[in-house]
Parts: sequence; structure tokens; C-alpha cells
Amino acid sequence: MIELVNVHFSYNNREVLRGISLKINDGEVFGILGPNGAGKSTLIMHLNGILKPKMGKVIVNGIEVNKNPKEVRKIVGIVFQDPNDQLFSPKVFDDVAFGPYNLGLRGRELEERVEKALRLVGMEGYKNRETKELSFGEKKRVAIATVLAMEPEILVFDEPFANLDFRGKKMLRELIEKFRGEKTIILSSHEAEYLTLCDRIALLDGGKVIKVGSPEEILGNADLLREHNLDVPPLVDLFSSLGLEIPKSIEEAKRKLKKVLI
Amino acid sequence: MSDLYLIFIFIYALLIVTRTSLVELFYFLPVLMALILLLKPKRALFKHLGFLLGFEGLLFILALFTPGKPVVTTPLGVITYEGIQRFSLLLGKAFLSSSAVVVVSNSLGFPYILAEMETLRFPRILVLTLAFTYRYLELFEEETLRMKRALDSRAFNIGKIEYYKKLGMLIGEIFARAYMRSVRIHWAMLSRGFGEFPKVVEEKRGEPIVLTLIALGVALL
Repeated sequence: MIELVNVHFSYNNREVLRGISLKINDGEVFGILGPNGAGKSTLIMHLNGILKPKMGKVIVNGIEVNKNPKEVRKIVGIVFQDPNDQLFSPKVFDDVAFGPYNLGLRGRELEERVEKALRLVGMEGYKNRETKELSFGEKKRVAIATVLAMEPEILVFDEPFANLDFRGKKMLRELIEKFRGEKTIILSSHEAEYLTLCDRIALLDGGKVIKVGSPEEILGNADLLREHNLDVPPLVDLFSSLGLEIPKSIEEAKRKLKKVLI
Repeated sequence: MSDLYLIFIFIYALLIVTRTSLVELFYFLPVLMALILLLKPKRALFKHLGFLLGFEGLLFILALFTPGKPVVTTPLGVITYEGIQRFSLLLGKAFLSSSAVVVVSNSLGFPYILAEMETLRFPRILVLTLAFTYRYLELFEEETLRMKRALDSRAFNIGKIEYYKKLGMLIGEIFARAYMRSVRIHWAMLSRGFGEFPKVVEEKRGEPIVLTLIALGVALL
């Protein structure tokens, strides 16, 4: 479980997080929704001790992050928003191997772990490619593989759907579904439509948690979203106005609509 | 056998920089040619070597003005016979030694050089720094191009002085952005348990011919 207790953080004198308190349960798919500059990425960087709170504390599986960040980094894997920030090795293999190598894996075991992670993101066959030769979407998928290769208990994605094409988005949705219940997954986004697959969502704005609730409670509240400069996804708008539960996928939406229409 | 290119480059460069005359340097030219023929690098190599020659020529240009017997007078000063000799020697040493690295990395790929460095137990921090430099030079170039295009697309109706002022600011901005990126990269590394750098797993080509090149270099000594 992840627990944030009254977390404050500021860059120089600019306060970015203003007393964030949250609890994220094991196996939950948790969304962090907020407009640009809400503090989402800063909050995410606190989850494995990359940034340290000026006040308050972050606890992951009972470990206070500030006291033992190295241990927490084995548990929490973060996929950064821009893959160019995440991929620092000349070759795909080296980058994906970086995390598991630091976990102590060597030889065949390391190679298998890398291959497995690349397979999960549909990038098998790319391990000997140079990172600079990849397209942005491919880099994003490899960036996800770099974290999957560490097999963390908690997966954190910062704006994961940004700049992904249809195939990339589909792959990511399937990946989230594959790990649902097995791992804790945290997704941050300023686009509400991508958070329909979450179990719970926290709305963040101005460095504060505005509201935590189910997708129906957060995404179904058009006024709340508009008040915080967020788009209301058309599908969500339609289902909320019909008084129906928000579907997690198009397939689910089709099934629900069929039921209503027939 | 697999880690001999780097050793070859090292011995070859060491032999070159310790030469004291142009005639001695001349003997190394066939070694470089042999290396090019053996490794069959991409065509772009010759363009890279041309740039390298030009860049190194500029670096040593002041050597042309070494005091001595005048050859030609230029607005910058008098080019002397001794100056030309000194310039040629410096340029020859710099070009011959650095071009070997360019030939090997161009044909085998820079990751190959990194893999060899790791096998030869070069300090990890050095290998890591070179790996980053290689990876991020391309990103740096991309970012520069993007910013230059953005400048050019809006830099109409401005004078040359104003344009170069903006270009200067752009270069400053590129460095600031590079710094910001380096911070984020460090975060990414920390997130994945940074402490050690993974071994570069690379299929290595053991070529006995490298031994011949080393022997040839030693013989030239």
C-alpha cells in the first residue's frame, strides 16, 4: 500500500504540492487526474524518493521512502512522460537490462528478463537496435519495458498515453488489464478519457487533492472537470447523462448500450 | 581476440603521437588505409574524416605562424617554413590517431567500442559517460535542428545582426535544456537502482587481422 501523509514540496520558492494525503491500495488501478501544472509529475517523483517532501511523508509497503529510497525503488517502477528522458543507453538491450542488472541479475537470467519485458510491449526483435533509430512510439514502448523488466510490485505511468498511436494505446490498455489485481498501477493524465479504466481516481489541482472517488464520481461530474480545466470525455458524458456506470472500454460500452437499447 | 581493436587504437595512437618527423608519420598512412579496407566502413566515413581534418586543421592554425623563415605574408601574420612543418606534424598526428577511432566506431558501431572498454575493465564511470554522450549527441542535434527551424520560420524581416543575436540566444537555450534533460535522466537512472552499469552484451568479432595491425604498428616503432 502507498500512503502519502500531508506531503508538501516546492521548487525554489514555488510551492507545487500543498499537503497531499492519499492512500492507494494494493492491486488497485489508481488514476491521478489534473490539468497541466497540477503537480502530477512532481507527486509521482515522490513515490520512489526521486524527490523528497519538504514536509510530510510517503510510505510504500510500510517503508518510509525518505529513509530507504533504494529499497522502495525495487518496489516502485516509474515510466517517465518523455521516453527520451528514460532511455539513456545507446542500445535497447542495455537500457532494458539496466534495472534488472542493478537488481543483481546476470547472464541468461538477465537476457530472459529483457526479452520477456520487450515481448510484453510488442518490441521483441528490437533488443539489438540502437535507441536513436526508434520512433517516438517505439521509444515509449521500450521505456515501459525498462520498468517492466524490473518486475516491480507497483507500476507508475506518467502520462502514458501521450503521443502513442492506436496500436500503442491498445497495447498499454491490454498491459494494464493483464496486471490488474496482480500489481498496483498508478496512471497520471490530464486527459480524463484515459482514466476510465481506473478503480479510483484522485483529482489534483494547484498542488492539492480536490477529490478522490470512483470514475463515476470523478469523470461523471462534468461541472467538476470543467471547473478544473479538464475535458469531459464524450463517452463519459453520454453514460453519465444516461445514468449508467462508466465503461472501462469501448467493448464494455457497446455491451451496455445494447442492453439499454434492446 | 575480441578486444583487440581498442588495444590496437591505443598502441597506434601512442606510436603516432611520439613521432617527431613527417616522414615517420607517413608510414602510418598505409596502416590507416589497411584498417579502412579491412573494416569496410559506411560511405559517410569519408565525410566524417573530412570534417575531422577540417576541424583539427582549424585547431592548429596558429602553428602556421611559428617564427622562422617567411613563406607568405597574410593579413593574420607571416606563415613560415617552420610553421608549415609544425602545423603539418600536429595535424598529421591528430588526424591519423583520431581517424582510427572514427574508422572503427563507424564500421563496428560505437556500442562495440563501449563493449570492448567494459571487457578491458575501463572505469565504469568513463564507459557510462561515453555511452551517454553518444546517446545524447543525437538528441542534442535533433533539438538544435528543431529550435533552428522554429527560429528560421519566424525570423523573416530581421537583419543579419539581429538574426545572429537570436542564434546566440538559441545556443544558450540549448545548453540550458541539455542541463534540464540531464537532471531528468539522472532521475530515470535513480528510479532503476542506479549504482552500476550493466554489461554491454555484444556479439564480438574476433579477427586475427587486428593482431597483424598491432604487429605492424610495433614494427613501425
